Amino acid sequence: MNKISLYTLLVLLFLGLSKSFSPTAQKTTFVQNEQVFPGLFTGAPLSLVLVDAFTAGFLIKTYYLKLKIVHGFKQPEFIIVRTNKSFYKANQANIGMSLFRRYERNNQESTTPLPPGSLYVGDPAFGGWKYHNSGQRKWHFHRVYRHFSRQFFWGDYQPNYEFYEKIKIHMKNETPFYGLNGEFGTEGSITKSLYEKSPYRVKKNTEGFLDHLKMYISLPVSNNPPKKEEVKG
Amino acid sequence: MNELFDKLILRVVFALFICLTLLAYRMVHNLIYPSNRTNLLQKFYPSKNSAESLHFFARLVGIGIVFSEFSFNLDQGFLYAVMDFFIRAVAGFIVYLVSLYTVESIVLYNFDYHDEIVKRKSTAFALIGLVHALGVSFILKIILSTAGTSLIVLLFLWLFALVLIGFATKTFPLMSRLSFNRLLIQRSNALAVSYFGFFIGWSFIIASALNVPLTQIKWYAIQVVLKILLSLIILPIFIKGLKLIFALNDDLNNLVKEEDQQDTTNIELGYGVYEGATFFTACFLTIVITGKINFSNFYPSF
Repeated sequence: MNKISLYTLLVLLFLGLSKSFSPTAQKTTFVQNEQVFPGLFTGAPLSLVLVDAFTAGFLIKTYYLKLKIVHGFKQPEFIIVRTNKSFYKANQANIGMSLFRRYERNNQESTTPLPPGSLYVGDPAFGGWKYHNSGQRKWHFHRVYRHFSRQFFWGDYQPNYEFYEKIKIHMKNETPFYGLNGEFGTEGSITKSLYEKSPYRVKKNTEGFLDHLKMYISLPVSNNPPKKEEVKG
Repeated sequence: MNELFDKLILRVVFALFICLTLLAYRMVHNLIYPSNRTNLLQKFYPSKNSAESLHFFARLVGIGIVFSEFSFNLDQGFLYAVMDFFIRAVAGFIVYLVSLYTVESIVLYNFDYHDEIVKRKSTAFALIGLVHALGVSFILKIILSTAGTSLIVLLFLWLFALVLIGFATKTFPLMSRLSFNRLLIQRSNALAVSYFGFFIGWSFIIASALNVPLTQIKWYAIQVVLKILLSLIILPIFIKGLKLIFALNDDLNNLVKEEDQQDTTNIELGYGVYEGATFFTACFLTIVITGKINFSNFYPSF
């Protein structure tokens, strides 16, 4: 019995010390829920975009969120935070979405998941509406802020006025908004590449068991056949 | 051709230096054990006292092991390379001698070299001396390669390793059922073989734990301690596993009854081999587990 107690103590001591001194655990901030964001990220205007969500571990999982902090007037930053299972699950569909925003004028804060860049759309300090031939009013950033469309992964997308109106409604109702046609989020046509290209994503094994075993009896195939001189030599 | 000649000279310098070290060891040997009749000018007859030969040549092999991972840095020229080598090698030699002296002071504090080796020709004592030389030199080899050129780091690592060795040697009564002092007085080879497996096993574990790249002393110490703790968790699994899988039967009590003995002071060599081999095998398998295992990018670090 004493030996078992001692062994258990040893295991707990090892796990405790490893956890306390683990560089990953030390460096990575823990985010319990979206209520933590205002205290964690300072400055305005500020937009927090969820770039990736992934898990690590086989039996005991650790949940991570990769966030992009887009500041108004300085370079964006990337940060990886640890989180709990419920917050991870709640945000699984929100990759590419803005999870937190702080407005510059009145320091208003919002934690409703909205398309990235929602903070700036409609703000005349950052851009303006232009009529297009289709009759729609579309948002254009001012020249100095034109990099925002790249920072927010918009590509060729240009929000129209209806998009802006919807943002305001969803923000007021505190309900997530994924774009007029669901362009944003993990499954959104504009931002789904973020999830698909994630370096942390564990790819599902599509090959069969026998195909996998073939690896052990296959010979390495060279794409560049040796030159004639090399063969002769 | 020039560089080949340079390398040949360096190798010859290395060989001469090791010979010089061996000579230095002979002098130091007489200094450490002044009661020993042999002196620097006397001839040594190995066949007359096998225990003394074993003890002495173990020390020499130890010196070889300490120097087995030396490197010459020729970036700043040939002379600097020789000078750097000389400084590091002398430091290594001194550290080796002081380590042996310290370990033997901890383990063999009840015994005197002259009594055990010269007078009683105790092979058990010689075997223990042999394993101390081998184990300490394995650990020092790792320390010297980790410390690089810094003598301060070498000093820190050496003291750190000595503490670990000291703690490790004190666990022998926990790991073995043989009474160290009583059996060594009786020149029991069973004890010597058991201790041989025990000490060399621990040396492998400590050497493996110390074999971590040193960037910051604090993090290095934490990593080493964690590796030792991990080894302490894994080691009992292998000891129990070996005993279960191969149905190894700890028959010490039966042996004592069969031979009608009151205590466990006169033990068959086989029991010592069983204990030593089990512990050493378990230690060796442990360092396979605690060593660097590549988990690919399954556990990301940032």
